[in-house]
Amino acid sequence: MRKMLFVLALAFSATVLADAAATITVEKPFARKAMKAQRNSAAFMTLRNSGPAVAVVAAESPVAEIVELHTHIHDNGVMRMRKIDQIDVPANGEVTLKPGGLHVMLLGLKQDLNEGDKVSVTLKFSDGSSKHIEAPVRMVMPMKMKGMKHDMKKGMDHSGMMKMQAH
Amino acid sequence: MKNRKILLFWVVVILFFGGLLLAQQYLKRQGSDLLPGMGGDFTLQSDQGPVSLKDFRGKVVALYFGYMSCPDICPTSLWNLSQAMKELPPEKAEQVQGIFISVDPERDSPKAMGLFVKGFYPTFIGLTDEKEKVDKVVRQYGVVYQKVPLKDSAMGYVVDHSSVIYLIDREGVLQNMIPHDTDPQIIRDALLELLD
Repeated sequence: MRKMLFVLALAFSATVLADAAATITVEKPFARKAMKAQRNSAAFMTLRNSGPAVAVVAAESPVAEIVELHTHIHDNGVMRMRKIDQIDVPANGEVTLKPGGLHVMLLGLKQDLNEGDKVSVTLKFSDGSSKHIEAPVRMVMPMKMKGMKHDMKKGMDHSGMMKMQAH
Repeated sequence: MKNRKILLFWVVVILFFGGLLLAQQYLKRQGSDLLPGMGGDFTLQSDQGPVSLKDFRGKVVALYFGYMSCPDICPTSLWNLSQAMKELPPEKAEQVQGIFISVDPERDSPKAMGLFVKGFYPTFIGLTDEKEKVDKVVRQYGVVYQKVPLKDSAMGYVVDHSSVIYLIDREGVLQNMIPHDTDPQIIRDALLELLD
C-alpha cells in the first residue's frame, strides 16, 4: 500500500513537473553560417509543444556576447527587424523560427561559425524551465519558391518600391 | 493592274512584319522604361579603392543594398544570388558581377564588406562610402532604408531596408528587380535573359 502511494505520488509529481522543458521538442535547429567580418548571426528552429501555452523569454549561447529574440516585419517590401520580449508557443501547437521571420539573434560573435560547427543555445521559458539545444551551422536554404518574376515590373507602385507579399 | 495589286500586297506584308520587328527591337531597348528614371552610374569605395558601375560595361550586374549587421535577410539575398551564379555555366557566370552596397557606412567599412561578400562568391564586390554618397545611389535605385534606434537591444540601431536584387544589363541599364527571397533558379533565369 505504501509502495503504491509512493508510485502514485511519483506519477502525480511527474505531471505537475511537466514543465516547458519537458513538453517542448525542438526540431530542425540550425544556426546560420557567419562570413568573415560578420559580427552577428541567427539561429532558427521549430518548437513543438505538447503541453500548455508557454513562451520563450530569453536565450543564451556561448558563441555570442548577447543573445536576443528578434522578428522581421515585412512592410510593403521593407524588412524591419525588431527585438521582441518573447516568442509564444501555443498549447499543443508549434511555432517556427525561420529566415525572414522569428529568430534567435546572436550578437557579437566570439568565433567564426562554419559549416560543420555546432552552436549550443539555451532557451529560457516563461515557466522558469530551460532547454539546451545544439544547432548545426549551415547556410540557410532559400525560403519559399516564389514565381514573382513575371509580375515584378507590374508590381511596382509609384514610389518605385516593390510590393512584396507578406508570408 | 494585277501586278500592282500583288506588289501592294507584298509592300503591306513587309511593312507589317518590318514594323513588328522594329517595335520589338524598340521595346527591347526601352526595357528600362518599365522602371522609369531608375538606376544609373555611381562610384563608391571597395576594399580595393573606388569602383564604378561603368567599370562593368559588357557584364550583367546584380546589385543589392543592405547592411552587414543584418543576420538574415542580407545573407539570404547574397546566398540566393551566389547559388544562382553557381547554376550558370562558368563562362556565363564570369559575365555577371555581384555587388553589395552597405547602407550602414557607420558600422561597415569597405574592408569588412570585401571580406564579407567574398564568403558568398569569390568575385562579389562590397561597396560603401560616406552617407551622402550612398544616399545618392539609394535614391537613384529607389531603395528605401531607415536607421531605427532599438533602445532595448544591444544592436543599438537596426536599418530597415527594402530587399531587392537589381539586375543591370551589359549597357548599364536597370532591367529587372527581384525580391531577395526568390528561388535561385528564378534568379538564374533572369540573369540568363540578360546574358543572351
